[in-house]
Amino acid sequence: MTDAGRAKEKRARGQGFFALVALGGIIVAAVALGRLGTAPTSAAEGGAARSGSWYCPHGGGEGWEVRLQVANPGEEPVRVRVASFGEEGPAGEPAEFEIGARSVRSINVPADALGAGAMVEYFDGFAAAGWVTESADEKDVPGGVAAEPCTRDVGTRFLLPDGTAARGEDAYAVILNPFAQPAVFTVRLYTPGERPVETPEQVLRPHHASAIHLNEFGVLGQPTVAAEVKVSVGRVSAATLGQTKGGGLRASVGVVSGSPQGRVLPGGLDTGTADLAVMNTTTERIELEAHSFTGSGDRTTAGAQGQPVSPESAATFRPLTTDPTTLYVAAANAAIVTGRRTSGTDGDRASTVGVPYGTTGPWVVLPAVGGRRPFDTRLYISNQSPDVAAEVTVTLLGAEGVSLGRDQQRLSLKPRVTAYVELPHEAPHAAVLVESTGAEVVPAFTSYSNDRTGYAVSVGVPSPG
Amino acid sequence: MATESTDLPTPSVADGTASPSVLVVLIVRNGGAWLRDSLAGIAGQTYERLGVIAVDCASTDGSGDLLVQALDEERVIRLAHDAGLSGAVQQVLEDERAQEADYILTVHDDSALAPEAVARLVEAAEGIDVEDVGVVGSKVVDWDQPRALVDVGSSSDRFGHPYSPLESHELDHGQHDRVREVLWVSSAAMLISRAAWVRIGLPDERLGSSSEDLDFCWRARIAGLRVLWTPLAVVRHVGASGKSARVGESRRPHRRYDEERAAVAAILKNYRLVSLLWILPLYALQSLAKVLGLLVSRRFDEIRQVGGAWLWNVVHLFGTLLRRRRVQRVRRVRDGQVHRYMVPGSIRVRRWFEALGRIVPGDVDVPDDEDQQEAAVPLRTMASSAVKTHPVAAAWVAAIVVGYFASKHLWGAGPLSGGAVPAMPDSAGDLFRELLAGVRTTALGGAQAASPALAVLGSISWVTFGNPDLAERLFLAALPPIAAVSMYRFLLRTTARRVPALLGAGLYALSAVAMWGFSEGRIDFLVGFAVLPRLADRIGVALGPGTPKRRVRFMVGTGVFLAVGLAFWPGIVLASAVLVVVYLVAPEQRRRRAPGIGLIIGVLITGAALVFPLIVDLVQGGAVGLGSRVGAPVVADLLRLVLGPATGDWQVAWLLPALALAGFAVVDRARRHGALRFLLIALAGLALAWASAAGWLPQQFSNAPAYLALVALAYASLAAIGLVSVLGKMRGTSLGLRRLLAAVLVIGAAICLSLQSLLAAFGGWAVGDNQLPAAWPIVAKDTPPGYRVLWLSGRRGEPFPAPGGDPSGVAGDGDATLWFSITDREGVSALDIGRNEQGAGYTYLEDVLAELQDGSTTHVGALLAPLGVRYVVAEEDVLPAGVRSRLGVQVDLDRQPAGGLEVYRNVDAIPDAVIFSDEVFAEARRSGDLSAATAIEVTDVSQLTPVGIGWDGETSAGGDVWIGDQYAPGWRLTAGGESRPLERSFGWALGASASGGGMVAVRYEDQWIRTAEIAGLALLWLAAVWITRKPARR
Repeated sequence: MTDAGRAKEKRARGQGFFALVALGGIIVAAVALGRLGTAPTSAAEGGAARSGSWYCPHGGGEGWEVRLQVANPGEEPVRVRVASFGEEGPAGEPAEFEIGARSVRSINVPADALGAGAMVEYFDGFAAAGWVTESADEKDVPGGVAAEPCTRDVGTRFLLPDGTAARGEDAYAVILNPFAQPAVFTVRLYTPGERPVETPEQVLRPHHASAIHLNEFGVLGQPTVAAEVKVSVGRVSAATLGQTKGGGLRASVGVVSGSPQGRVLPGGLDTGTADLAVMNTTTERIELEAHSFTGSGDRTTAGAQGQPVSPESAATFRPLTTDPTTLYVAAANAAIVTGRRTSGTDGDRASTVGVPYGTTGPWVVLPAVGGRRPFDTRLYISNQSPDVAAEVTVTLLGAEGVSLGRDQQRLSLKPRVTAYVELPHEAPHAAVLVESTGAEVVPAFTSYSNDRTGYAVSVGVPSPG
Repeated sequence: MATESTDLPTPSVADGTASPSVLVVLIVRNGGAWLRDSLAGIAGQTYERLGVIAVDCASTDGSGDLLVQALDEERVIRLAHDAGLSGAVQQVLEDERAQEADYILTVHDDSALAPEAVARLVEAAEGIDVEDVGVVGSKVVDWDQPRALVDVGSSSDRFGHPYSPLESHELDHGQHDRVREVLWVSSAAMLISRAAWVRIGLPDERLGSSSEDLDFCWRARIAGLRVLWTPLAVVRHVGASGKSARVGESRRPHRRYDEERAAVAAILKNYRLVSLLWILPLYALQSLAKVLGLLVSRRFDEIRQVGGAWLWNVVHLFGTLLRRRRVQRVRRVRDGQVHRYMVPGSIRVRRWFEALGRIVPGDVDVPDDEDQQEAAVPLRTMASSAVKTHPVAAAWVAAIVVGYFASKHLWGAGPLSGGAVPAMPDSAGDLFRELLAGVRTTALGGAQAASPALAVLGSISWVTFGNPDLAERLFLAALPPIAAVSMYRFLLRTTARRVPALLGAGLYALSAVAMWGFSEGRIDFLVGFAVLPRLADRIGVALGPGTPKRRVRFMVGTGVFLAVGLAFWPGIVLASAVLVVVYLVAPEQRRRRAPGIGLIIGVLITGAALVFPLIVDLVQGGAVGLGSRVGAPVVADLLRLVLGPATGDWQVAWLLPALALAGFAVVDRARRHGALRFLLIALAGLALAWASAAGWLPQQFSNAPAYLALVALAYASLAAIGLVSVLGKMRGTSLGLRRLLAAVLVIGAAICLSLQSLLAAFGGWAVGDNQLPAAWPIVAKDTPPGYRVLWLSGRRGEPFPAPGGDPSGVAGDGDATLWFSITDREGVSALDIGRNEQGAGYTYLEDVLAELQDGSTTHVGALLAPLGVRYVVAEEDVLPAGVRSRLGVQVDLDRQPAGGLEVYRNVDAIPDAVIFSDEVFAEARRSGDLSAATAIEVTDVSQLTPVGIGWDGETSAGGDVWIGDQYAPGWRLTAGGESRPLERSFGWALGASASGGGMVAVRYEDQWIRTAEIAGLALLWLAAVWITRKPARR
């Protein structure tokens, strides 16, 4: 080969080598870029438009009285719009009003049929809403009282764990569709030891509410009738309404999903017994872990701890409680859905699904007091933390223009201890704002009518602060 | 010199025994250079009964004297002007010596008869038992190269355009040697029988030398006379008139004029009335199409020639009709019998491809020794001979076959939809109206100018009988081939070899990114993709070693390309900028950069000026309109030019980058620098494409499709350069890595092209007939109209489901990032081609989406109400979980059952133009406070009626007028007899109090600004087109 030929060959090899280097560079760059990933985006700040809505599937009946309580824990007035819906559609024009700073306002809403509900919208701030239902007195049997915060949840699946169709009990699922689109749904009923039962598909027209009498679907006599509302078109909000022959009344809003961390179910002023209803919609057996946060601290809950719940079923346990006792219930490897039915001393009952464990405050607790009879009320507060004490401040939110005198109280709570606060008698219809430092707490109002025939529990709702 | 026969021949036909007499009519005009040979040819004839009369048509080069010397004064007729063939023959026939001739033989002064020519002509006329022979033509060969054929008897198409069966420079191998009947023969040596001139008269003297022989022979045919061609009579011919080789004759620039003029005249004269009724309109249509084609290619001189030809025929209609009368009076045969001698359509198609092959290279200089160089390539045996000899025509055929199958899905009864194809308006007029409108009528409105691209789309729609949908289909189908042609021209200049340039063009047009653009119906991108190689070519010239000859023309011409690209696809600026930077960083040779940079600046200024309203908007929007949010940051996808799921995203797409790398590896020394530059372009393009898709670049510079188009150009160029290097240097190369790479390159290119072609032909495309999601009518068919659609997606870099188009903005971060766009209910519109979404309305929308993501409101529907958003649409399961759950809890957004889509209906939506009386809304409108807007619940609204650019309405109790379009000064409200400007509402829209009630009118009063802009723009384009006009083809 000549020198020129060799030089040419060398150049050609050089070019090939350069191509290989380029290929190598591309591969290295590809790996590096893959690791670098995408750039963070600069997002516009939200929070300028503060508004929200509460759904209150309270139900009703002839002669019943339902009072919505709307509390504004903030420092600025809040505009509120309340729309009511019944089995015949919207019940009149929506009411619009403004709630002043740190105050609560009540408004009676139509509730003359089982299918009844309301939607509370608030604008330019935050307001919490709840309802108190008082059923009508029948002959010698005084009507019951039920209190429950409205729910922010709206969706295509609702779980209602606390129903019972035991003798003397009527269980209803109150379904509210406040939206402009029809909802199509079925209700699947879970009972102990039986296969779930599903109701036929039902259509709930826009801006309507309805009630499903769960007893009618082959579950009569079952101590536990947990309901799963499944919506195939549209969305709804749902709650249970339970009535006893003795005049008892309880209500509890549904939850859209189970709580992997467990649930906290406050209570107090009760007779010392509670029904713990648990529903298991999964195909796996679950086992309960139950604790009681009492006045003296944490202890396992006899009667519930370690109890199994079969797949696709519901069960009721009766743990022993003292006053005060807040229940903490969880399930290993499963999201728990549970409710607490508490009996009052004279026939009336209360019910709550509590809050997911770990929910943070501050909390607004709405009154659990009916309007027909004088009531005593207590605010129960439970420290969720296993090892940190909580410093709690309770601020009364009274009706506008009403002076409450002592409007703020402070207390200290040891870990996993439940305590209560007596509220001034002059403010039975006041709401409270509960703020804590150190540890997270869960508050709830309980109330008794002075004649002991009305008993209600109202768990607090978190406020955006 | 003297002829053998000096007296006129005695008539002999009467007795039937003697040979017929032939009178040679030698027509002379400044033919001194060839006249001696011509006379010698006549003198050397073996035929005995031959006479000669020469006609000197006012020669000035001494030809007349030469004739007199050779023939004597009495056999030379001197004319004072150039009377042409017809005039010369007429002069001769008026001479009493011609009265007795049986035949006349026209001979040009640049024709030299072979000795046997006359005898053979007469033999063909009388000796082969064929009756009624009117005209006999001879085998005309080249004067200097007698083996090269010039005429073997010709034909024409139905419209009288001449057609020769000969290939260019076809050599005589005897392949045409048989006496044949033809339509016409050359008058260079044409034997005309007495019957012919008596029956049909003389050639039409008005048509000129280039067309009168065709017309004459056609008429002979009509009169029932045969036109024969004999190969035995040979004549050498210069073709001096065609070559402008005569003394004192400049080249005739009016070839098209002559041809068109003669064609129309021939049609008018020679067809029967029944035929004329369809031929003439058809020809008029064809001429119109021709004019449009010439208009597009800026050949104004040829347009003038076509127009002049028609005008001439109008002016001379009376004379034409007189001649027609004579033609039709002697008619013996039907038109159909004449058609037998005209060319069939298939031959015309072949010729058309050949013409394309000549036209497409344009001004590109290809070395003359190409054939010789290609002859050295051993791999050429792999190709068929047809492909070797006519590679461009073969490529066209292949392109048409692939294009036919690939575009089959485009032709159907339903509207074109799917992918990202924009919805066309109902009529061409809508496109022009939007172009001229002072305000934007789509999306969120505002004062954004429409792109000049609408003028192109409108014109095409107008041509397609006012059917924009058809125009869109045609445009879409045409763009990939146009991109291939554009790339071919670029590569031809780069490589100077046709076959590698063709392969490179094929690789470019069939690259994954091109197929993605076609699959999604991205007209804007495909226009840019087609223009990019032309810009690359021009940038290479501007920054290359030489300097363009006509700098202004070059600058304006390149500016026109840039403007076309910009008008459709502003992202082309980014691709061009990368090209400029790479050419500056790696220049071809050391040279002063200033002149090139000056040219580039000039191009930029010209391009910007030609779309200046668009540029103003781009600048006002912070140039974000240059960007695109399409493309995912997947390196493996970007490397093979894949931008998203589409036909062409298969693994075969790896072949192109592999070919590029192989091409780079085998490139020879002479092309190494160019290859390095393309490698740089590819690497830069890939890096920028990834950075764009990953969000690391500012929006102004983020355009993954633009950078990938550039990479496709670089890949195809590297492959073509590699092929040139390999094909040119294989002889003598020993078997080794280089040879292996060469084989890989060639086989790889073939496989890549074949597979991509097959995929293109038989793959499925996103765009087609009725390709919209089944659930889309839920959104599109709602009433009343006058609402908008908000599109959301959580998927980076992907378009929305059809007809949502591409995201125009992004909100949120991390896993909750949302890509969004807002459209009318028809989806993305063709009226917005080249125009981006910008303005305060989009800022408001971003704020609303921030509220949605923040979760601090359940009244997003109310916040969207001012935007006129009635539907929020997303592809199923692509929204971030958090966003979906927040949408699910909105009080005023109801999810609709819609398979394949997530559709939320906004119950608080209000039409885009209303009168209402709602205090909350009025307060929110004025304050622009989002919190106040959450309480919007407008129930008592009266919709305004659109009227041109504005709305009309009526109100009994006053209220507020609300127009959900972006604010622009110039809007005025007239209500209750008072006129006032509309206020800025919510910080971005239009509103005003219409106190007093009564009739309400909203009008835009700054329309004159846009009108002036468009007038200025039209003038600029006219100037640009005039400066860059092309000379007529000769």
